[in-house]
Amino acid sequence: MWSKLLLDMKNLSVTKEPYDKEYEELGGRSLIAQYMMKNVPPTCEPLGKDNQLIICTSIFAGTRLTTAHRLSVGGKSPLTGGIKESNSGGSAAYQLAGHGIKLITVKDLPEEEGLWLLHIDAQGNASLEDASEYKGLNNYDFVEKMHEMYGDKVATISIGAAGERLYKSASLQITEFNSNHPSRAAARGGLGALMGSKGLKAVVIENPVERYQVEYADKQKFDELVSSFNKIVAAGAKKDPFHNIGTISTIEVTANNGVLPVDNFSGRLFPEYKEVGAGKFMNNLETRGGRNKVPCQPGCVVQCSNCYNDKDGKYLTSGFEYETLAIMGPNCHISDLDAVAQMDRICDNIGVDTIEAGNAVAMCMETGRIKWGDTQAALSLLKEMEEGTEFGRIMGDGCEAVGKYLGCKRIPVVKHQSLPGYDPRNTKGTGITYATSPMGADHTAGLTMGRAFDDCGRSAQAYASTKLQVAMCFSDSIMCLFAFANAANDLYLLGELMATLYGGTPDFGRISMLGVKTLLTERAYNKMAGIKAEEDRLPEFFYKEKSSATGSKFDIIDYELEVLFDF
Amino acid sequence: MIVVNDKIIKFYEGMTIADAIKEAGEMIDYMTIIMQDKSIIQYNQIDKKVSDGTNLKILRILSGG
Ligand code: SF4
Repeated sequence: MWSKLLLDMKNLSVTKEPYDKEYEELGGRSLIAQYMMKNVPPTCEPLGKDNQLIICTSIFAGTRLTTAHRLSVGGKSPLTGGIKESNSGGSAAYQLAGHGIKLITVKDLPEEEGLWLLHIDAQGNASLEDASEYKGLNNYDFVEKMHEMYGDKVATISIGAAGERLYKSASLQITEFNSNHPSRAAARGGLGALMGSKGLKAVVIENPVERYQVEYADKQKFDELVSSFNKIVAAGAKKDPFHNIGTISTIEVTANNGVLPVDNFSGRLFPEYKEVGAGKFMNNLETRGGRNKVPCQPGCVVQCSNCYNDKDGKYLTSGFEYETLAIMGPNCHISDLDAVAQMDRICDNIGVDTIEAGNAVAMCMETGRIKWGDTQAALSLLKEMEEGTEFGRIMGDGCEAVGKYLGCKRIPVVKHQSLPGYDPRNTKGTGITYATSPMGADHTAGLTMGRAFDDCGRSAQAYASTKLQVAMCFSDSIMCLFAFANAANDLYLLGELMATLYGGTPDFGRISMLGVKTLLTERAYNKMAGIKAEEDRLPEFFYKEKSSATGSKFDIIDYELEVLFDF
Repeated sequence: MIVVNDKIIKFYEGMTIADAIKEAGEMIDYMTIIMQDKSIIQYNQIDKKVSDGTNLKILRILSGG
């Protein structure tokens, strides 16, 4: 039987209990939505005692389904003030599943100042241990210490100085499979600050001596189906640029159609984009000894991750992704791939969202605090975040905090969360997703680029956004989106997998209804939290300023946004 | 001989990337990334000629990254 760990930070206790029957067929985003609706008051203070940090695995955790070991983190977001689920790869979910742990909840606040870590040893015993000696330690150094103590199979979920200082852009960093670098991030929404507010530095999970065995309704049939499903994903991956290159390849598509954000979402093209393009990335990997086709979690057949070295061939960063590149590169008029990789490393180390940090840097450029394209000045700003200077702390609170502080008129946020690497004027369905997603502007909530008839036109945009928002809700409950995308024509198999794992009918409706229910629950939660329908909008400048790349404005009318989820 | 996504097709003089893609029965649009050996080719540069022995990968972006 699956179990759950309940951490009470007031009493500094850990209790292990059987996992709830009512959540049996839930995992990831769907579990977080239902758990929060029942247990976390929507009006609670995000960094107060009533908020909870939720860490969980997916619906198919513990099975052989490829990428089933995605880690989801949830809570009321310190950044958006609404519900938040942020998920990540890495080896932590795999190790949790190995111990038979599906859910960890962290409630209340410590009565005394201090720092603790949750240690799950190889036998599955869980204890809260004093971690005050690691105070102020950033993620790379922290992980090295854990490896010295527990060996290289240990998985960690940790916060750096940013989380300890309660920056609203703070992330949780998760160690990557094999390389063990803390380079995978549950980055969006400032959940690292929520973890910091609980006084929890890390969850440290040792390799189990014996792996937990999942109970199946029909194991033989499940094994047959999962083999077929994994083969479909692997076959799709052969033609997937994320496998062959990495997610950075996305820039080759977005750079030419005005989707790539340039100079704080100016709507211009970035002629220098090849300097940070896929060709340059691949060439650097080859000449410097880095690698792509890296699985961030065991059993991933897409393997979109990478290990990127500096010009001297020394490890610089891994999990170097398109979103980071787009926002810290062209959106800051930076065309130096190594500088962006360096920024990625700093953000992973201190534990902040690269999208939020990149957009905050762009705010400084837009208002003239530093010059466009000034990589040294951009790196200095991140160093200020690391050191915790007065302005560094404002930077740590993200794009909107910096934009407001500097009097910027064009602040690219929805529900206080900054936009990822897609200009919504040139992929309007994505703009609808940014506006209406309960997560705020989020790259994992339903990007529609290439899915409506014409990305700059108006027809089918709302349709594409709704459909993908629902799909992302169930994808984020089941597996990594990039693997999921490769099986888009065979998703009915997921219904059959549900039936052979949990029993019941092999009906895809079980999966799709999970998506609808999750989305509607999240929207209801936000409404109860006081988030108004008028907040389902993009910033005004996207409606008023044309993208010079295409001549397109964001012209989706408010009514269309308001009725989007009237199912 | 040209290899397009593991499919072998016959080379002829004057063959373009577009010709090779067509022969291999692949489709492209603006979401496609073409890898010619180790270089990245934009989908609007498909009129470039290929030489014998070229390896082409026709890759399509499926989701944002
Ligand atoms: S596709 Fe990429 S992000 Fe997803 S599990 Fe595999 S390596 Fe990790």
